[in-house]
Amino acid sequence: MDLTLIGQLVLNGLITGVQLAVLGLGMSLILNVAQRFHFAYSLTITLAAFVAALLGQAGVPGPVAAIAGVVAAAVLGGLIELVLYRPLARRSGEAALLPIFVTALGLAIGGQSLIQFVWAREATSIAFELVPVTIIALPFGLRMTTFDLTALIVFGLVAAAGVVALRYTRFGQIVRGVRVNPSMAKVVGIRPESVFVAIFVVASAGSGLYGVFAAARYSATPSMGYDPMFSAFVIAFLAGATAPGLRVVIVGLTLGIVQVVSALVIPSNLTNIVIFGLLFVYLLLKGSGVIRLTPVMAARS
Amino acid sequence: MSVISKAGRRTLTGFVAGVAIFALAACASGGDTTPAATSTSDVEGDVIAFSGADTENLGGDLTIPVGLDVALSGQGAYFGDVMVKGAQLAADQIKAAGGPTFELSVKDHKSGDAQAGVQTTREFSQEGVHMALYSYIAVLGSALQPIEQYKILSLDGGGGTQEFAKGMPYFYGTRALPPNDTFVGTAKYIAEAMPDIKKVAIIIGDTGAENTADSVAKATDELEANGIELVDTEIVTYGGTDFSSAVNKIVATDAQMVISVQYGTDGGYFLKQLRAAGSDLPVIGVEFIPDVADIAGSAADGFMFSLDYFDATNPSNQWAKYMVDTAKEAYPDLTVDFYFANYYQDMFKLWTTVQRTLKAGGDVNSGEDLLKAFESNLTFASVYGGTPEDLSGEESIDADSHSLETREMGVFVYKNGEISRLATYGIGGTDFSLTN
Repeated sequence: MDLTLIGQLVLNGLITGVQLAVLGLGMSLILNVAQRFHFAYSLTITLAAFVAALLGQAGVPGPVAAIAGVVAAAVLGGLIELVLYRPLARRSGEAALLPIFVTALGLAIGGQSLIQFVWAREATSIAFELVPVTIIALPFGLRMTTFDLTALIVFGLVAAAGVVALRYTRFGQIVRGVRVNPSMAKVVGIRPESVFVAIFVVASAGSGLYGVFAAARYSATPSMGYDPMFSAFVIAFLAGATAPGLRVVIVGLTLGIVQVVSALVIPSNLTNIVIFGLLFVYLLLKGSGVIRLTPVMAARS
Repeated sequence: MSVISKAGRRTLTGFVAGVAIFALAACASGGDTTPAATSTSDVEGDVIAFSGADTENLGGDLTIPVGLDVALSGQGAYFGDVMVKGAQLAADQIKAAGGPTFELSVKDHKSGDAQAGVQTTREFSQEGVHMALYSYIAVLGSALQPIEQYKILSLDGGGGTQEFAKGMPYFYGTRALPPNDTFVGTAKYIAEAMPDIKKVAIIIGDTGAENTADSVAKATDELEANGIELVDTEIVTYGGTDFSSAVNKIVATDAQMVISVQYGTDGGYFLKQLRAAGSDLPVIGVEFIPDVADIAGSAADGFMFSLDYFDATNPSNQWAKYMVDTAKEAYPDLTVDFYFANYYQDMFKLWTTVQRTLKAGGDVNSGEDLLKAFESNLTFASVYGGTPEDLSGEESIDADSHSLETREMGVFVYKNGEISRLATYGIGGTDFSLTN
């Protein structure tokens, strides 16, 4: 067994995982606090990528274009909650999950087609340079690029900030309060609707960050948001409905590493299956009682 | 009293809203394929001479529907747009030259959706279509049965026949088979131009287990016949973007070169990630589109590719030059590639078929008569091959396999934004020669 190859795959998995962790953190909040089955998460990823890539093409410096992409994603995310989901949820009451799911699905597919029509008619993809890429040689024959290092630092910091914010800040307290009991939160003066919008803005900004880095690593394409969106769903499911931020991040990191390292034993085209395989096994074990919730977790659930 | 409950109506409203958004956007993605301006100066004499048309049977008084089943939405939308433009330019030139009015019935198979392939073929039949141009190997085989059932003479210049659609009634591939037809030229090129290379790795997009295994076996045979060993095979996602795991595995082997059997933009992502992994291994692919260079940037420099590539910068005969010039006039922003060229010249094959049918006293609204006329001579004028002095090149289709029997192919290299030819060969490796 080639140890350098294994080390390199683990390193690559870490870089993939930390990005998935940020994506999963946002989805976990949307799914578990706002209770929205938000398929259009793929749209905010794609929008950010295209905004950044198009601005980059127009001569705007990479980091500035990236920030603009993230802002665009955050604004779109907030608007989706404000203009679409919230009115739909009000009208549908307890039966809101399905209409919101269908709306989100339509928005994701329609949005992708619209982006393709407006921005990707003459070319299937648009390249984007965030930072100049050079190769950094590491000990033991490992290597990474300046882009990988940037991704590791930026996403690492964002993930850490997310965990700390959810655990130790007033915002985190409010989010936890709304998740556990929205009615009680209202009694103490918190407006769950405002919290939902805030969650959508923050989570969409995170998805936008993922989008601009994906555009820089690969390129901006209309369908680029789907795979990461599904990964985010899986992370949120695996981490559990009441998961603290740290657990979501750990699940994201683990998933990234397992997915990349699995290429050692299965063909590269099947590594995506690993994510869904893990979810399937988890649900199977949980259903059969092999995996049990702790009394505290069960009580929270 | 409504039979739908309030909650049901809400659900339905949400569903309809979602579908409506999708439908609106999908409709919008069709794109504008109307030529900016089609030059008709001297067009009559030009295309009649280039295509070898029978001036006694041009069919100018006829209006004939032609089906065009291409990807207008999904990942292949760009290619569908190019194909439609190629066919439309040809239809306009044919009409201007005194030929029939070919009314294009353009359908979207959503980048290879099998159900859409069947549905669009049914719609062709309802519209009285008896000639059609397909892509994605008759939409990955799903349209083969209805094509035969409705007797629609069908050509596929996008994916050809591949192995599974060989010899299927009414269906013909008008593209050299990627990748299998390319391996012989690739192996000969490596052996003659890069004799030090004895070990190669292959990265191949997964197009189905059987198809992929068949291609790997074919590559192995051709490489071994030229004294080259295949040391690593990486099967990756077709249409994927992340090939970093495969890259790391290839770099860890003792391969001296990589053969990339990837299509569309996949090759660009692979090149970018291979160079980012610090590897300078030479790479030879089976396809090249401008997007590959856009995505890979400087990593695309030195990328070689082996196929029936249409070289728009150095058209090989007068018809090819005419096609490029008129295409640039009609679509100023278009990059003329082999998809454009194939669908352009396939329309002329259909016109030739109409001429033959008329000459034989047949009915151009009969699929059987059209097929008979088409099969009466499977050699056609082509924008591929020949010399700059020739009016056109020539290509022929094999009567048994229904796949191209002859077409000029080549090995090319992309460097500093320019493409140059390294070698020329024909299907089966015939007439292989290195470019000086």
